[in-house]
Amino acid sequence: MKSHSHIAWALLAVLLIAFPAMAQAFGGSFYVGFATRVLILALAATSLRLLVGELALVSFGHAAFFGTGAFVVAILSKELTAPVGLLPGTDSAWIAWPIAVMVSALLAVVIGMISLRTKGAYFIMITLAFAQMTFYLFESLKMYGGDEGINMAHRSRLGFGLDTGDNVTFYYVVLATVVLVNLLFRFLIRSPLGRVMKGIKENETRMQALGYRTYRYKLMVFAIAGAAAGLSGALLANQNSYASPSLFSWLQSGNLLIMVILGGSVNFWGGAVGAIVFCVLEEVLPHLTRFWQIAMGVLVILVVMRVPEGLTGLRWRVRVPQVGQRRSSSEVGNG
Amino acid sequence: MLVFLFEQLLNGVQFGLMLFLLAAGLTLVFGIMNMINLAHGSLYMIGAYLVATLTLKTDSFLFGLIGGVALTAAIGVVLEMSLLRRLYDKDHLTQVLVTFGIILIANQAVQEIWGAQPIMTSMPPSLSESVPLVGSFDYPVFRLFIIVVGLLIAALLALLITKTRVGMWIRAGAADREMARAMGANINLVFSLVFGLGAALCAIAGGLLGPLLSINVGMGESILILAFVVVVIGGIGSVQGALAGAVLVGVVDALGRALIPMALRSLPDQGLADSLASTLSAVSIYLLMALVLYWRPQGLFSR
Amino acid sequence: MAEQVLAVRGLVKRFGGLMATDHVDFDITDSQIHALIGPNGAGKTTFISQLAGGLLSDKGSISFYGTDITRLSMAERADMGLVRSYQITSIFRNLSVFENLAISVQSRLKASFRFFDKALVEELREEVVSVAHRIQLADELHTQACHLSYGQQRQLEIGLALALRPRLLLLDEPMAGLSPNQVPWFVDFIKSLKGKNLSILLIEHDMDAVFRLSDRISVFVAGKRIFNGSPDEVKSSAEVKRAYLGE
Repeated sequence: MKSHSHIAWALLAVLLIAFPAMAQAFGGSFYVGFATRVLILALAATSLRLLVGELALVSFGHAAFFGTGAFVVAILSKELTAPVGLLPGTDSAWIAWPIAVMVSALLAVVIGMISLRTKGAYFIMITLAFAQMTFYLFESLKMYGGDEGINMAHRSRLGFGLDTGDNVTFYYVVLATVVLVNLLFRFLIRSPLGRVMKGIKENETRMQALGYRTYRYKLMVFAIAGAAAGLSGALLANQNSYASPSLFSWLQSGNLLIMVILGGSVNFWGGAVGAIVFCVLEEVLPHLTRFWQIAMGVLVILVVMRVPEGLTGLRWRVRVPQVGQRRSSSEVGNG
Repeated sequence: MLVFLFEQLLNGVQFGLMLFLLAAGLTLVFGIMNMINLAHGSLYMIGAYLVATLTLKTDSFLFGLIGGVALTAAIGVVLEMSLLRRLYDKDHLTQVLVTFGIILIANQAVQEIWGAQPIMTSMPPSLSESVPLVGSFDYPVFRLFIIVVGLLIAALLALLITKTRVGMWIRAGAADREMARAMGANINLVFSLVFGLGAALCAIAGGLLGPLLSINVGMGESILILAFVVVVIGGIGSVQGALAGAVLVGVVDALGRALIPMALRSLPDQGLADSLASTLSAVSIYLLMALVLYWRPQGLFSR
Repeated sequence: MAEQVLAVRGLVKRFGGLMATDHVDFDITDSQIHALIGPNGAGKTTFISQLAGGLLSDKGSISFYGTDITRLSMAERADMGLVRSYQITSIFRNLSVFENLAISVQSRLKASFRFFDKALVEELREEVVSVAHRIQLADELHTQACHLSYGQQRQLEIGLALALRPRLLLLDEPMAGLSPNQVPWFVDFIKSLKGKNLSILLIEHDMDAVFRLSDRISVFVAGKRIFNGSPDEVKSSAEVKRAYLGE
């Protein structure tokens, strides 16, 4: 079995690395851009899946961190090219992106400090409300575009001869970043910290009775998830050279949650899988029908009611008829 | 100046009472059926559209209001019986996503039927005057009408829940669903009634606010989040909490928008003052929510 | 010289109009097994919850090895060595027995952030296996907790608390729901725990077990401690008989 999964990973790696070249063959700089966007959203969805799947924290305000990361990068870039005079600007990715991550993490700590004192439905409603608050906050910054958002003159600079303006180069930058963060997440989940998370999800009261300050752990993971979402926001701002307040909207938060449940919240790859499916649907559905939002709504309802474990949660069964014996079924991998 | 503030206060109370109509439905549905309903905002939107359309067709605000509310309540009950009923036993994430899907469907459906352009309706002629309240201060009759209607409904709801048979079933169902069922309450009927009631309240709010705000696709979402804030502040399941929270939110919002720019006018940098003022006014309600939650995480009136 | 493990003074807990814990004074000295008996609703579990920190007391003080813990959280008290187990099994059902115990051991070792420490991983594993042996679940290390029998789950329930190496163990009806042939093992097991640095406060309804295990017995009725003495004293007390059998 081990060798199967190694081969699968190797194939996936080859596919991801060779993708731009293949896309060029099909005449698509569009496809490279699309794939980059999918990777970015996969990162955002994975960070949300961490909260939903490992800690059963249904955050309906994850877009707040996503948008914050985008806006930090865009604001810093604007201060450099068309200064408002409030902050020193920069277009260096090495400075802007870490700042975006830190600001998002800070925001997550602030929001988490209040939200994590609540549970269940309260938590969902409060995270939603705080995300809306950040929406109004950034929308009210007239000097930074207000509700029209900020245009960036160019993408963040990386130096080392890498031209982020080139879509293919940028694709690889995003790919590398997303892979690194995913490895970090995987590492965390398999670490002693991951064990704590599982315990909190299973039986938080007993965890407290065993000496764990569960509030602190939840806050920490919430901040990490927020930071990762901020990074993906920074990448998105770069991808579009534009940051819009609509990134903070609850439609965005809802979409991220849809991705998590489409892909499945329990499996590590649920967020990524869901993001891919969602993005493809978003592209393809409008071509199939004018009523694509209705179609999307119906689809969401069907998936949530009928396949709540998501695509990665499904057990793919294959019937293998054997000569001279009764039919038997064998499982072929389930993520 | 004092007059200006008084006017803002009244506006805040008026908006707060309409928020209460939404929040009451939300908190009842949550307290009794344990369901988060994001589609509540869609019912508000549908109510607003239906009332406006019927008013235009029949040339009577009264008929429009009654007809729109009745239709919306019916839509709500149909929705509950066909789909939402299955969500009561499911986890909150499922409820959130299914009702989110309903929002997507409702938004495009409304847009297809009524078009993407917002509808502007005017106040009914009989209520479009202004009356003097204090000294030379005139206040629009329509807004007073809204305040009266809001207070009336609050009183009626209180009566319904505490003094009637139906209210007793509602309270019983809220406390213990299985026991209530065993005792003979037709729980499914109670649930449908509660949901229909919530839908009707949404439609009343939508119908009354329609002439004041613009009626457009997406109007449900922004007010829904405010309703959530109210429910959180007031305490899930408490109708008094919804009333207190709603009026508080309405007043804080209105006064915030009025006072904060004034307070900041003394700052040297006008550009910064303007920006800061608009930011603070916009988020004042959320700061209020954060404050209440820090002090009482379960809300002011939680059971 | 007996050490003062627990000193409770004037402890109160009110639920609306109901006085669940009514100005209780209580002491435990080292290496004691102290049983808490009384009719249902007497406030025994409430009292334990107050001691463990799950419920905050309205009045009174709790002192653990000389430190005032009245306002400390559950987690802080567990850290200090005051650990409880639950009457209604509260384990990590979807995790294996190994993972269940690992959570406890990891807490004691404060190892949650030691990411690269291979020696620690080994120490943790050895400790988990050791505890599993003690509670007779060594063969079920990789079984999911929800697949254990009820009796085995009760063993795990105590095991979780034990793995923290507590100084005071609060056992809330550890033998609840066990069949008669399972009880002797538990009684022997609890008796074997008594030793230096471990005192046990035990709520139990099985009178045989109580008399076999306890050094001291407290009788709770309606939130008050009405009697406190050795097993013999309790057996011969007319007061206790009256309270229990309600003459």
